[in-house]
Amino acid sequence: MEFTPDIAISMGQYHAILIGFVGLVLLSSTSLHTEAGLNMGLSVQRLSATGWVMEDVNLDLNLESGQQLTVHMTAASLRHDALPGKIEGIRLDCPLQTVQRTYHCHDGRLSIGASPYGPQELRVSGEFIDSERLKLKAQGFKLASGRISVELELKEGSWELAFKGKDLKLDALRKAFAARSLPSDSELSGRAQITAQVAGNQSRPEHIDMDIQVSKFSYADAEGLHVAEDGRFRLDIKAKRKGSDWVGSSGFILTGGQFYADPFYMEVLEEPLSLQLQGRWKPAAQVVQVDEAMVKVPRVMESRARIDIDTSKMAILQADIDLQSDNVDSLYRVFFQPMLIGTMADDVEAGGMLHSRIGLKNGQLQTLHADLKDVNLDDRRGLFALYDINGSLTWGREKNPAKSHLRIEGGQLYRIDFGALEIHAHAQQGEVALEAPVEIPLMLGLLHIDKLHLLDLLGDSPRWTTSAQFRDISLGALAEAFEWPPMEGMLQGTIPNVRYHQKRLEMDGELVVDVFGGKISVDELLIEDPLGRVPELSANMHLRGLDLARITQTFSFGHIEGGLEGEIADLRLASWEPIAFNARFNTPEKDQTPHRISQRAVDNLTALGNGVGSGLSSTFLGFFKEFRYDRIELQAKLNGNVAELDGMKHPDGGYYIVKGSGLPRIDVIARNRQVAWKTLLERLKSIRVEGMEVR
Amino acid sequence: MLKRFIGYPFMALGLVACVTINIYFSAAAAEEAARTIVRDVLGEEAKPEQQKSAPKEEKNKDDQQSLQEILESTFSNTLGGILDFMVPTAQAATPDIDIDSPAIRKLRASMSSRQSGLAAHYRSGALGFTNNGLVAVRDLKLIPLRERNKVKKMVADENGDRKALYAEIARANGQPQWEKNIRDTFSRVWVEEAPKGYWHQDGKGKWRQK
Repeated sequence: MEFTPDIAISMGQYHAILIGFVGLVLLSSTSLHTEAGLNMGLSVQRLSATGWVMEDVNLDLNLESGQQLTVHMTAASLRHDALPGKIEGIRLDCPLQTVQRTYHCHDGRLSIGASPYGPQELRVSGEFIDSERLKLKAQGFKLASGRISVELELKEGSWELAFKGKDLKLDALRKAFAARSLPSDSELSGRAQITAQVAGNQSRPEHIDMDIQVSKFSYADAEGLHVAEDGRFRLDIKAKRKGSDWVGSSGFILTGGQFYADPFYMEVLEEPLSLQLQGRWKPAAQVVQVDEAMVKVPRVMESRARIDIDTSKMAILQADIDLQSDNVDSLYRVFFQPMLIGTMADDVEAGGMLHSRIGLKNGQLQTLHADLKDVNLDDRRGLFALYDINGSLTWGREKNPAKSHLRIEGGQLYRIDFGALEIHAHAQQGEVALEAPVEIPLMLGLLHIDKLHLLDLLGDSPRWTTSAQFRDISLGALAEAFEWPPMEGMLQGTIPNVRYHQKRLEMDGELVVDVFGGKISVDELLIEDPLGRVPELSANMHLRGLDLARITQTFSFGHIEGGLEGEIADLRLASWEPIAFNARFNTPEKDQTPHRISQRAVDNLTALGNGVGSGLSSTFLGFFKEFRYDRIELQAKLNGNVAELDGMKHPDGGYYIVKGSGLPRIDVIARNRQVAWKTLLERLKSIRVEGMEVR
Repeated sequence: MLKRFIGYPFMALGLVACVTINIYFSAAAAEEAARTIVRDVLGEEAKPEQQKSAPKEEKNKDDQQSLQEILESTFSNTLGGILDFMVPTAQAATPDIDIDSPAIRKLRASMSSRQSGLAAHYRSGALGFTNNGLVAVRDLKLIPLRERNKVKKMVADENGDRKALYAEIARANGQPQWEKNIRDTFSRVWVEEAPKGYWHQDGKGKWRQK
């Protein structure tokens, strides 16, 4: 016999065992109105409704005395669409009492021989008034090494379901429900306490209130890119239906554990990390509208945001984010540094406060505004430092230019300290340009930047150009910064157009420096990877009209009077050390200035050319402190580790470095033409100069 | 036949006029340089001297590819003999590889100081030597969570130094085009000098343990 009842309640989403119980009570209700003793048996081979089917159902009703009615029901199997497998060996024993036309079952037992969740022994109780009013309760359901209890109340078309899960093992839960949202080769463990209340009308849930607490939470995917260790968190969700939408709020509090989501790492120790959400889910439009999201990462940042998410693509449609951090160092270490690993900004010590507003549309950054207060950025490798940055940065994707203003109290680039500067700039799509020239106090002088233009910052080919002048730069401060020999004097000069693109810094035209009474110009300047591991510089330098008296006074080399010109062609530096050049320094033709050279300078030049000093002081020439000379010339060509030296041709071999004139005449003649670069450096170091250390 | 006979000297003279002396990459010198640097960087981790895997004869063949070989493959032995007389074999002396530039010294020092931080992760199998002379994270799971970014930064820095080192050795020797050969040489020597238990990629990119 097959009997298919017309059951109005469709509860496919809820527990199939309870459905069976309700169905059978409904089925038998019409024959219970009798005062006499009664034994009634009913066998149904197959009982089914939408979404479920029960087979070999036997129902025995025993009305023993008075109102005491006992229901015994067995079923061979129950299948339900919501269950991963069938339930077998079902047996329900329920003593019923009738009070004012309501049937009560206070101490029923439901046993299940086999189910996807193992065999079960449940305590069940319930009240039944009619097909639209009943209460059911089942306790002791064993699942995932924990216990579950469920309460269901039906009341004139509406229903309420209460669920409690205690000490549920997450790994077992995952197996029981074959959770497909997690990769199959991932590892999951932890214990959960779950309470949930769901209310609805007919088959539609209308209200959900859920609280989940998880402890000892561990998760790891196969590659180790997403990992949690010893996590503790609490998640609560409250939602109710409004028309076709759901509105609600959710809270997530992380109270402990270590978490890694490549490349970000976070450890929660004392203060909890919290996330509060309030918003609306529009299933028809496949949109989640978060009206307010509040994130608090202790000692790192707090953020409020409004976000619209396309649930079909899990993409941000629009977002307005307000972010506040009183600890820029933590913000950098937690969120920025992991993304910057491998770049020049991956080892920065930061400090200060930041307030930022960020606008996103269709996943793209639209606007960015950041107020900085006392922000410090200090590269640990010593490449750069910026101290006490205050002001605001504004950028927009739209064409309207957004203006920014920053004041920096000081800083460092390489080893060069600079003073306070103010920057007024505007940003426009992928471009940033100065609104006004920037003046940077530098080495007792000033660097005046006329223009700075950053281009294609959003494209594949970001680059910048600049031009500047420098005034009264102290050579002494420059030498001190680079640990050169002490020098005196001032530098004046112009830096023409400089371009930086794809790690290449190139200069158009000539960099002209006014120094030592003449000019030193630099052209064809190219620096490859200037902030990289091995910066490579190539350039040509030309020296014109230099006054040797000023140079030798500066270098304390020994006094020389006269003019000097020369060039350093094909200069190449790697890691700021010379690896090649072709240099020539000489007295200019028709030089009208007096030509004098001191005994010490002769001695030093001789040592440079030959490796040993002249020893003049030990001869009668030691009485003369100065000598006249006709011409000085020194050529040096470095290629790799060997320097080739040369000067004016000497008829008996060797070459003049200094060709004397008058009496007493001094000629400095060098014989060695090749010298190891290291040796030449050693000679420079060993030059006898009072109070001076050559490094 | 006569025409051919008269033609050979002219051909030979033509060849004389076109001879270019090339400096060929010296695999043996590069290997010696690489071994010096690798042992210096790995420090006590480096394994003791071992027999080199490639036969010496084969190496010599790689070291000096002479014009004679090219000619012999083109002309008959007889003609080759004549040309041997007329055209001196255009082969370069085996040059030493210079590894003493300031930039190389700086890079070596940087890598040596980092090695103590990397060694434990090489031994655990978290990191390994790739088949292109670099370092890669082989198994992220073997690195404790809180150390991961520190290790990833060390790997990025190490790779930055290694790339710069290979380029700088080629540049310091005036042969920027050798960079790939030098990198290949280092790639092999890193593995050869690595202690037992270290992981490395084979030619197909598959991880192997020494």
